[in-house]
Amino acid sequence: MQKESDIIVGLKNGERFAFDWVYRHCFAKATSYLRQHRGSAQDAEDFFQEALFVLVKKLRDPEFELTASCSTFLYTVVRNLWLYHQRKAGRVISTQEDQFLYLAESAGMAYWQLGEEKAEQAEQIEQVKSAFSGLSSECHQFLLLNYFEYKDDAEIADTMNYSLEFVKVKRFRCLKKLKEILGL
Amino acid sequence: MTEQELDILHAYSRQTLSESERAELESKLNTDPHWQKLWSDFQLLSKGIEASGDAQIRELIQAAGADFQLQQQQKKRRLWRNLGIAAGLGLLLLIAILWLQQQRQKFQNLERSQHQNPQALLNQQLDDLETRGFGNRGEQASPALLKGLQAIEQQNLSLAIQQLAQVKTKSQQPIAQFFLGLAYAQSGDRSKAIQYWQNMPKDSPEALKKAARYEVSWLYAQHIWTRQRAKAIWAEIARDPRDPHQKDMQKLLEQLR
Repeated sequence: MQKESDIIVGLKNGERFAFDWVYRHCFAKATSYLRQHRGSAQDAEDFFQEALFVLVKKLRDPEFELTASCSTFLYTVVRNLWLYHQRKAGRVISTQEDQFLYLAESAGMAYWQLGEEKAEQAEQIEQVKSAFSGLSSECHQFLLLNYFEYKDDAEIADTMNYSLEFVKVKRFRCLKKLKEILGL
Repeated sequence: MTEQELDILHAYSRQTLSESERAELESKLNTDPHWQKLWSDFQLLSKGIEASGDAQIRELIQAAGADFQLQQQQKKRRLWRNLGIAAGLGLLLLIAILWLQQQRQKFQNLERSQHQNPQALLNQQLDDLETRGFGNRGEQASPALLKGLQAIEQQNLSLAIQQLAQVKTKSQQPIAQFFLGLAYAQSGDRSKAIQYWQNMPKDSPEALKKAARYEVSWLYAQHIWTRQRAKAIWAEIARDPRDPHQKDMQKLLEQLR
């Protein structure tokens, strides 16, 4: 029997067993609201994936602390995303639901909107992603620790067995290589 | 971008620059096109790397989701398959029960219409014993035999069994044994009744042996597992010209065909 704390760590570290566990234990509950409100099976799958992505991103934020269970968090996010989606599609939402959505958005849960803002840079970002895949696996790991997991230099040095000084050198080399591939 | 410039931008993005360093950089970012370009590139690279990390997470989520959906589909398929098997078995069971009931009804109807009640034999025996003596020879019937037969007539079956079992006179034992079988059959002890009727003494009167064979066949007819034996006995009776039930059995077998 897995403890939820192990699952949280697994999600943070991108371990497959944790994602499987979340699907098995949280999918039905998290998508129950959506399925009761005109959502299809495909909607449930799509919105759950989005909510799980939000959870993982949140977990990687050092300032975030998960105070509810995974399934409760996912239920809330799926519900908010679904209500937002319904509102955008011009479907009527009851006053109570609207108030709930307003509260949820105030609490910084509306990732959907953030995603849309990013879309403007999408093409450039896709180019960087493509260039990134051309780097060595060592640079991959190194840059992801820096700019995806936001580890500080001491943690990176510890993880990759480098000296603190070499972390800076390595960062420079990897980014320089990336820039070269991009022609910047 | 030099290593030093990168360090400054990296520290700025992490908000680890001192107040004065930050102010100096922000001033450059507002006025100096070189630093503006550096910062813009740096942000783009950071976002691109972050997006690559995001893509890895999304791949993981999608893979887990695909596996989960597959498992759910397999579960559903298994559920439907098991439901199908259960429904099929249920249907078969229902058909079997209906068939058994139909067969039972058929043989019950046969028994009601064809089985000649042994009561007539009992009445005749009692009449003989009471008026003419045993075997029409004036031989006195043993009191136990007489009491046993009277008890059967009064449906006091336990007393009948008790009395008939006490008949020791050899010539009167076959008739006592036949009616013991009847007492057991009427009290619902089918196996005891069969045991008595199938093991009639060798020197029993022929008519009594035939009557016992006839009664056993109806007991066999009551159950599906022994119904073939009943049919075999009825076939024997139908072939026996000296059996009083020959014609009845011929008709009965004809009906069964």
